[in-house]
Formats: sequence, structure tokens, C-alpha cells
Amino acid sequence: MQFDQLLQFIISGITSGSIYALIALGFTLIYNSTQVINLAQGEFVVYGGLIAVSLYVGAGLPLFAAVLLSIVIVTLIGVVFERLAIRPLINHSIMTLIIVTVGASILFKNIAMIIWGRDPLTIPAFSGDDPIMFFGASIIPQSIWVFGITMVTVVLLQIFYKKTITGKAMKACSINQTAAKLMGINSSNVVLLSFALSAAFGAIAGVLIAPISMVSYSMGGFLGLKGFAGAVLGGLGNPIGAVVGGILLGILESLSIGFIASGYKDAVAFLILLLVLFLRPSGILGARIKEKV
Amino acid sequence: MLDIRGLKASYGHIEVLKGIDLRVDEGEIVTMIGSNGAGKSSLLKTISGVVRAGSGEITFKGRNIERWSCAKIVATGISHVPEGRQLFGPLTVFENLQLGAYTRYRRDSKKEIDEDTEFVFEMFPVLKERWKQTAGTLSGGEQQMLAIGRALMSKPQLLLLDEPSMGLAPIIIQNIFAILKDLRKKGLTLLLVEQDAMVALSIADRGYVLQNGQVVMADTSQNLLDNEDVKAIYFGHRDKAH
Amino acid sequence: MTSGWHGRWNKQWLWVSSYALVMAVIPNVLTNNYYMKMLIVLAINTIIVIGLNLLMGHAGQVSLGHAAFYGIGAYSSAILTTKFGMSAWLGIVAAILVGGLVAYLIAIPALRLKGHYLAMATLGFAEIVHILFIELREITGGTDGLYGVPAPSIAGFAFDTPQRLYILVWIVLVICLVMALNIAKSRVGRALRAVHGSEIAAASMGVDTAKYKIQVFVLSGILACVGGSLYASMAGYVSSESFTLTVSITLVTMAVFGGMGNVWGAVIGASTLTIMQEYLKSYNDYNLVIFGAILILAMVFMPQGIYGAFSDMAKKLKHRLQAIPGTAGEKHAAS
Repeated sequence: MQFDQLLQFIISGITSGSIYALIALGFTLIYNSTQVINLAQGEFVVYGGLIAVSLYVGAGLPLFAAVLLSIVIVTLIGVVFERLAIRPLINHSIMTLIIVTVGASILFKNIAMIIWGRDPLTIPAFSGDDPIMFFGASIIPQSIWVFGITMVTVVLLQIFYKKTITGKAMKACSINQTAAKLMGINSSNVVLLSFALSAAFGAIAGVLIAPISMVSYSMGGFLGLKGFAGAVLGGLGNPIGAVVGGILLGILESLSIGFIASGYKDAVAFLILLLVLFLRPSGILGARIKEKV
Repeated sequence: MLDIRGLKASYGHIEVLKGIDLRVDEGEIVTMIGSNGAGKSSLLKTISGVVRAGSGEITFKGRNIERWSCAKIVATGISHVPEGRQLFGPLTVFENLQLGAYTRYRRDSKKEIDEDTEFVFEMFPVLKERWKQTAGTLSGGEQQMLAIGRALMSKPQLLLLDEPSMGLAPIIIQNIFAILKDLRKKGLTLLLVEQDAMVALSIADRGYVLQNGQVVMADTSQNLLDNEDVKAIYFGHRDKAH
Repeated sequence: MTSGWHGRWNKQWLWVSSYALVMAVIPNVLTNNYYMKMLIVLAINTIIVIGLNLLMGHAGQVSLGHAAFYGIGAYSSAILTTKFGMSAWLGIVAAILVGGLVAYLIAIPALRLKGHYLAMATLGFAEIVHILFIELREITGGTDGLYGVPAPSIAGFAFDTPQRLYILVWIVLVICLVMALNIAKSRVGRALRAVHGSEIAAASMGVDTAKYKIQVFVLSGILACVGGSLYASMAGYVSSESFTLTVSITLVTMAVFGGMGNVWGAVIGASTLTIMQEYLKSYNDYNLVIFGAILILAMVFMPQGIYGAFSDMAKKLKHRLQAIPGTAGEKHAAS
């Protein structure tokens, strides 16, 4: 493989990997506060993209306003979802909660189909479509947006964790729920916040990817799975691991296209998932394995 | 200050507290002794709101708190140092202390909280040395100090302590108990649970003996230390061990 | 104590025979092919969900990949019969062997881990298997699938119409149900349930949980393979679309929806949801919206599943009746 070709694969891998990273981060936040794997995570991505389309094309808002408003709306959807369906069941078995997220994903997906139809929709790229050449590989500006915004999100999240008492409280809850309770931390608020942030991260991924790959009602499940694989790859429960795992997964997947038949491209993510689980279950960054009893 | 009447609590179908009456007056050190599973830890957890009271009353400074959330109880002035310390291992010493003051962030100024952090550091200088270290890397004694320091950060009037001596060397236990006495001089009230009845009664004013979720004896520490039954049951095994 | 167990077990037999009888009578009432096929699907789903129920309710593990075993069963049967000309019976036997082996290989590493790791591993595994169904065109027929899967026959009697095949499915279903109830009743099953899947507690009672969990997982994989094999015989073709993640999740949903603590929960969950899904099809686009909403509402209002909700209600009712002297209290004591 030529160098420029390799570079091209890596660049496109980083782009899709950034999206996986944001989704993986969403899984991680909810997992840390509730131990639940939110199988509706991919739907937040779809809604982020599709609502932005409606606001931009339908309501005629400026692109950036449409994008921001869409993220806010999806965050609210996450909040409502938590209050209506998760909160009443928070003391029940994890499995019951996971099934609720399954129900939510079916519901979200099919409501999206009724509202936006079956065809993929799109919004324009944030800053034009003229590719930038980089050591013989071409980069579309939207890819830089995807990577840049993902990094900004990750940095902001770290600042939130390190610098604010709410962020520390959130971390405390994921480390030791009882001790957090004894500090007077209200875990119900932490759970709500984790759903809000997860929804927001999903929506960010949705508006970022919409100009590149378009968004359709049905793509949430698959994107969710890839994000989940990324989260496990990095070590489920570890936010930094989620980001590294997501991006690494994107790169590996992209590179695999150069070596194996493209039909198997999607199998790569899951093969990596299995290998990680069997060989290094704590993920490449080695977070603690814990279980709600 | 703290008045408990007819308190019952259960885990699922197992009743762990079967009608407890207990009183702690302001400025006292009161201890609870009893064997494993007597309900000592459960009682502390019920006071701090981790375990829901089934029936009965807990009043703190005249207010019924048995239905309150943990957060509200902490904010009112009861702080609980749990069994096994329960620190936030991956977070630093300093972050652990900050979280101890969690309920005060909206109420008190940053200056007040900083002053209290300084107060804890003066009391436990080793914590100041290690403020940037993660809690998980501290020694057992240091962890216990951090757990107490963290509880003090909420500015409690009543401190609940669950087995602060567990797993520590005698010299460190002495050190910690000296600090507890010092805290009482500064006006703090303490309710102390200890496996080691001798140590506990030596610093407490009064003691309660718990058995199977019930108070079977309540008296001054001196009387309990002199009591033949208490000696036989709770100090007997010590003699055998030595 | 022992006689109490005995009494409950006799009652269990009454339930099993009543259920078997009802399932045997239905085809005589609903005779058209559409209903017959639905009934077969319902029975197949029940067989698979019984396995999942044991896995989740007793071994405390979740599989998000049972569609893979379902598919492996169906494809094994289809490939061996259409490509190698084997008999349908051999196809079923092969499906069991292949499925059991694959389940064993997945279970050993995955069950060493705690929490959701089996769920994750099975999910990844099922996605890979699904991709293989599509990509291994030479043997699986790719996206077209495989056609012409024959029905099994015995001594000249071919199970080649839905009515006839149902007889076979019914037999398998009843065998599975009795087997599952026996496992649930066994010492290990009771021990595990009593401690709610808590491994430490079970280990302290002398139960080798690791071995037991692997056995239950392999069994549940085999049941799904048997279901797949029967499905291939009924439909006459197999296609990868029948074995997606959605199917895996639907199966788990049936188990949770019915109630995980009791084998009958599987029967209730699989039957209710199969019928509901079929019925909702008439709502076209709104079909899955309604399905999703029902699922959420059901979980919010019956977090223990249908079986759990009803047994709670029955208990309360009994309490109330016993409070009235001379009514159900005595009747109950007499039975």
C-alpha cells in the first residue's frame, strides 16, 4: 500500500472513529451512573442529525443555529426519557432497564421513520466541500470539524470532571455509590445529568456526520453498536478509554478495507470486540471491572 | 441531641433492627458494642439515611429525620464515616475532601470551605503532604484519617464512626483515638461503633450493648467495663486470643 | 416440607398437561395455514425463550446474540439438506451439535467474566455470524438465502404441511418445557434461584456456578438451534434477515416481558409478544411505534414481567381472601 493511500485510510478512519468515540462516551456516562447499557444510544445520533435537517431545511434557520438548537432539543429528549422511563425503575434489575432502552430505541426509530420518512437526509458541510491536500491525501473540511469538535468535547468533559464539584460528584458516584450518598450527593441528579450529556454527545455526533454520510432513521442501531464496541475496546466505564477505543476502532475498520473484502468491514469491529473481551476484558486502557450487586 | 425510639429496619425480609432506643446528648462520646451482625453498622446506616427506617423515630435536635434523604441529613449536621472507609480511591486526597463538603458548595463561601480544608490538614498533617496523591495509594491509617477528614468537611455536629480502628496497628489506633478526643473538646458529638469494646469504652462516656438488633444493656462506660456479663462476653475472647 | 414440594410438583404436572392440551387443541380450532404458521413460530419462540429464561433467571446471565444460534440451527439444517442431500433429521442433529459446540466455545471465555460481559460477547459474536451468513455466499446463498429445505419425515409420514409439522414442534415444545421445569426444580436450580444468581452465596452452598452457567448457556444455545432447524423446515428457506440483532433482542425481550424468575414466564412472554407482534402488523408504519411504547409501559408498570405481576396479584388476593374466615383460606388448606 502506498503511503498516501494509507494516510487516506487513516484519515477516514479518524473521522468515523471520532463519531464512534462520541457515541462510546455516551455509553460510558450512562454505564457509570447506572450500570445500564443504553441500547437507544444510536437513536440520539439519528435525532441530532434529523432535527438539524428539519431546522435548517424546513424552518430555514442558519446552519449553526440549526445545529446548536438540534443538540439542545436532543438533550431535552434525553432528560425526558430519563425522567419518564428510567427514573421509575432505577431500583429494579439492570435487565429491566436495558429492556426499557430497547423499547425506547424501537420507539424512537419508528417515530423518526414516520416524521422524516425512509430516505437519508443531509445538511451542508459546515465550511464548504473543497478538499485540503495533506501529504498526498485529501481531507474534506467536515472531517476536520468532526475530529476538532470531538476533541473539544472530550477536553471540556475532562475539565468538567477535574474542575467542577458536580463533575467530581459524578465521578464519585461511578466509583462508590454508597460513599457518594454519604457525601450528600443525590445520585438521581447524577443519573439525569448522565442521560442529558449522553444525549448531547449523541446529537453532536449526529450533526457532525450528517453532511458526510447523510442521516436516515434506521442507522442508529448500527452506529450504536460500533460505539459500544469502541467503549468496550477502551475499557467500559473509562471516558478516556471510550474516546481512544472509538477512534482506534474507526482506524482499524478503515484500514481493514485495504486488506479484506469490504463486506467484512463491519465484522472487523465485532471481531475486535470479541478479542478484547476474551484477551483483555478490562479494555486496552484497563479500567476496573465492576458489577452492581 | 440525637434521640432514637423504637427504631426498626430490615434488609429485604431480614429484620436487622428490632426496636432500638438510644440517646446521644450534645458533647458526648457514646459507643455501641456488640458482636458481628448485632446491628451496629445498620443502626448507623439508618441514622445517616443509607438504609430506610421501617418504623420508629429518629429525632436530631428536635426534628424527625427518619424519612429524610442522605443529602438532607448530611446538610443538617450528621456525618457518617463508614465501615471500611469507602474512599474514592481513584480521586486525590484533596478531591475526596472537596466531596466531603459537597452539600456546602451552594450554601457556604469558598473561603469557609478552604478554611475547613486547612483545619483538616492541621489535624492530619500527613494528608496535607499527600494532597495530590490518589486516595487508593494511601496506607490504612492514612486512609482512615482521610475518611474522618472527609466527614468533617461537611461541618457536622454529630459524627458517626463505624469501626475506625479496623485493620490498623495499635499505635495508629491510639493516634486516631487521641484525635477523636480532641474533636470532642472542640464541641463535636460522637457516636462510635467498635468491635474492640475495651478501646471504645475507654474513650466513651456511655455505652450501649447491642445483640440481635436490640439494646440489651445501656450504662456509663465505667459501669459497663466493670460489668461481669460484659467482661465475660466481650472481653473474654480477648483473653483467649492472648 | 418434602410433601409440600411434592404437592407443588404435582400441581406443576397439572399445569404442564393443561398447557400441552391447549396447545394441542388450538390447531383444531384455527385451521387455516396463516394461523398454523403463526402457531409454529409461537412454539419455536417459546422453545428458544425457555432457554433464555433459564440463562437469565437462573444463571443470571444475558445473551444478546441468540439470533446467531437460531440462525446456525436454521443454516446447518438448510445447508446439509440442500447442499449435501442429508435427511432433515440429520440436519436437526447436526444443528444441535454445531450449535452446542459453538455455544461451548463462546461460553468458556465469556463466562469467566462478570456482569454484562457475556451480553457483550454474544452481541459481537452474533453480528459476526450474521455477516458470515451474508458473505459466505458459496454455502449460505448470500442475501438470497437458501431455498428448498425439506421437511423431516418418519416411516413415510412427512411433516410437510404446517398442520403436520406442528405435531413435531408440539412434541419438542413439551419436552423442552418439562426439561426446563426439571432443571429449575433441581438442587442446583433451586440453590441458584434462592440466592438470586449471587455467585458467592451459591458457591458457599457448594454449587459450582461456573460449570452450571456454561451448561445452561450451552443448553440455551442448543434450544435456539433446534428452534432454527424447525423454522427452516417450516419456511422451506432461510435468509439472513431472520437472524438479526433485532431478533436477538426480541427474544430477550420476550423472556423479560414474561418474567424471568419462573419457566412459565418464558411461555407467557413468548406467546404474548408473538401474538402482539403479529396483530400489530396491521398498523403498518405505526406497528413498531406501538410495540416500543407497550414495551416501555410494560416494564415501567410490571418490572418483574407478566408472571411476576400476576403472582404478586394472586398473593395479595389470597391474603385478602384468607382474611375472610371460612372462604378461600380453608379451601386452600384442603387442596
